[in-house]
Amino acid sequence: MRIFRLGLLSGLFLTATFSFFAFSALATGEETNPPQAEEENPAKFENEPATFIELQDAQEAADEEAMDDVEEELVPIPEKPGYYRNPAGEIVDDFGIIMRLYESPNACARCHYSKEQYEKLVLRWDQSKHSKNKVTCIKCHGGNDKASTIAEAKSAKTTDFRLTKPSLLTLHGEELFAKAFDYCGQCHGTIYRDWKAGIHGKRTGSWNGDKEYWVCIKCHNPHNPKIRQIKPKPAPIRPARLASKGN
Amino acid sequence: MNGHDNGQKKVSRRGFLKAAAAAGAATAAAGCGGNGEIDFAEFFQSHFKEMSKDEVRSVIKRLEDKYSSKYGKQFTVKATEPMENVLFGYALDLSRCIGCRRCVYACVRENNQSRDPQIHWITVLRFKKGEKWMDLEESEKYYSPDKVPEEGYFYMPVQCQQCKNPPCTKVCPVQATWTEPDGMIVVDYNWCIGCRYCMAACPYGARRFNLAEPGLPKDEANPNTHYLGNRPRYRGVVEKCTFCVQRTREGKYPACVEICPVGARKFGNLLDKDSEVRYIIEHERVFRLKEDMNTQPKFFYFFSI
Ligand code: SF4
Repeated sequence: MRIFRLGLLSGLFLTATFSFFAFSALATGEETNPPQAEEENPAKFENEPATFIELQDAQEAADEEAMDDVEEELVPIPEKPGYYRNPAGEIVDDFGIIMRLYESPNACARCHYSKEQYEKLVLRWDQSKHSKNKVTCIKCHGGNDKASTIAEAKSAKTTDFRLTKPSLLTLHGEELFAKAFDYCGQCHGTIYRDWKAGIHGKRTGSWNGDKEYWVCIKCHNPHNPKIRQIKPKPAPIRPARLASKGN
Repeated sequence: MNGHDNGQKKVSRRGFLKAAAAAGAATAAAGCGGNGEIDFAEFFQSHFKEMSKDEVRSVIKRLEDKYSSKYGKQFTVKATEPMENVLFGYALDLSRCIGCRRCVYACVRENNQSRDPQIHWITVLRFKKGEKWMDLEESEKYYSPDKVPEEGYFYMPVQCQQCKNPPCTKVCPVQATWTEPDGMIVVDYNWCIGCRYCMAACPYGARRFNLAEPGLPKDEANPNTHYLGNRPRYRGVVEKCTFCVQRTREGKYPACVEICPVGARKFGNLLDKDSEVRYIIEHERVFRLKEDMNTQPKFFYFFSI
C-alpha cells in the first residue's frame, strides 16, 4: 500500500508523466493473532468527572489546598462584638460572611449550623451573585427566617417573596435534581426558554432519539452558580518540536 | 521492489490513470522505504464508492483482521450508510466555550488520532475581546494559562466545517475525498495518495497529514471504527474531522458534543425543523467562518449572550 501511494505521490510532484509501478508480490508476513475479547464502549472518556460540577469542585479543592495557609486577617470591631473587619474593609461575622441587610442566612444558621453547611453552602453562596441580589436561603428553600420557634420557621408564612413551586424543604435527592429547572426558571426565564429549546445547556445521548437534558444543577452549583475556572488541557505541541519519526 | 506491471485491471477501473498507463512508464516508485508489507488485495482495492456490497465486506474483513492483530483487540470496521433525509449540521456557542480543550482530546481518543507525532483535529483559538472583528491572524492557539476562561478573552474551536461547497474535494486528483449524502466530507485512507492538495485548498486548515507512521498506543486505540472515519490511518494520508461518522450515523452525538463541559457544542439534523441546530440557526445570529470564501460551511458559530 505504502509503496503504491508514495509512488504516485512522487509522480504527481515531480513529473507530468504518471508512472505505473510495481509492487512486489511478497506474501505479507502478517501473523494473525486471535483477536482478544473486547471491552464494551471503550471510547468513553475515562478520568473525566461525570458532571461539570464535580470537575469544578475538584478544581476548587485543589486550589484550596494550595491556599491552605493563607488566612484572612479579621480585625475585631470593638463596638460590635462578634463582628470583624476583613482586609477589604467590609464588616463580616466570625465566619467571614459579609453582613448585609437581610436576615438569612445568618438567621438560618442559628440552627443549621455545622462547619460543612457553612463552608460548602453559605460561604460559597456569599461570593455569588445570588447573594448580591439578595436571593437568600428562604427564596429557594422556603421557611421563615423571622421565626422564633422551629415550627414557625418551617411554616411558609413570611412576608418575603418566594418561589411558587413547593419548597425545597420537601424535595430531596433525585426528585430535587430532576426539577431544578422549575426553580431556576422562575427567575431566569430567558435562560429557561433557551434551555428548553436546546441553546443553553447540554444534551447527551442521541441526536435523533433519547437524550439526556442536563438540568441546571448538573453544571451550576446553586449556591454559587457562576461557572468556575478550570484547568485547560495542554496546548498542542508546536510544530518545531514535533517528534520526527518514520523511516 | 521488483517491477511488475499491474496490468489492465487497474487501468480500466481508474480513468484518472489511463494517461499514465498510456505513458506506460514503469518509472518505479522510487525512494519509498516501507517495511515490505504489501498486501495484494489492498493494492487492488477499488474506490470505495465503486465497490459492491461484497467487496466492501471483504475489505472490511481484511481491515478488521489487520487492525485486530496489530492492536491486540477485536476491531470492528463499519461501513454504516448515511440515513435518509439527514444533513448534519453543527452549532457552537462562542459565549459559552471556556477554551478548556476537552473537546480536542476527546476527539483524539475517539478518532484514533496519532499521539506522537501529535495530530489534533480540533484547534481552539483564543481571541481578545473587544476587537472590531475577529482577526484570525491575531488569534493564539498555544495559549496555556493556569485556568480558563481568562478575563478578556474568548475562545473559538475550529475543526472541519463540512462545507456544502468544499474546495478540498474538488482539488483531489484521485477523488479520495468526497461529500457523503448526509453532508459529511470523508476521506478514503486507502485511496489517498498524500498529495496534500486538499490541505492547501482548505481555508480552515482543518485537514491533517500523517507525515510519519501514526503513533497510536495499543491500549488507547478505539476499536469501534468506521471505514470512512476513525479507523487507524496509514503514513502519508490526509485525515480530518468527520463529525464522528462512526457515532453519528448510529444516532449518537459526536464525541466533542458529549464531552464539552459547558454545553457549547450543538449537533443535529439540518433537515429536521425541530432539531436544536435548526432552532439555533433560526433564533440566533449565527455566522460562518470565512463566509466570503463561498464554502458554505454546515458549521455555525453564534454568541448566545
Ligand atoms: S470542550 Fe467545550 S468549552 Fe472546552 S474548548 Fe471545547 S467547546 Fe470550548
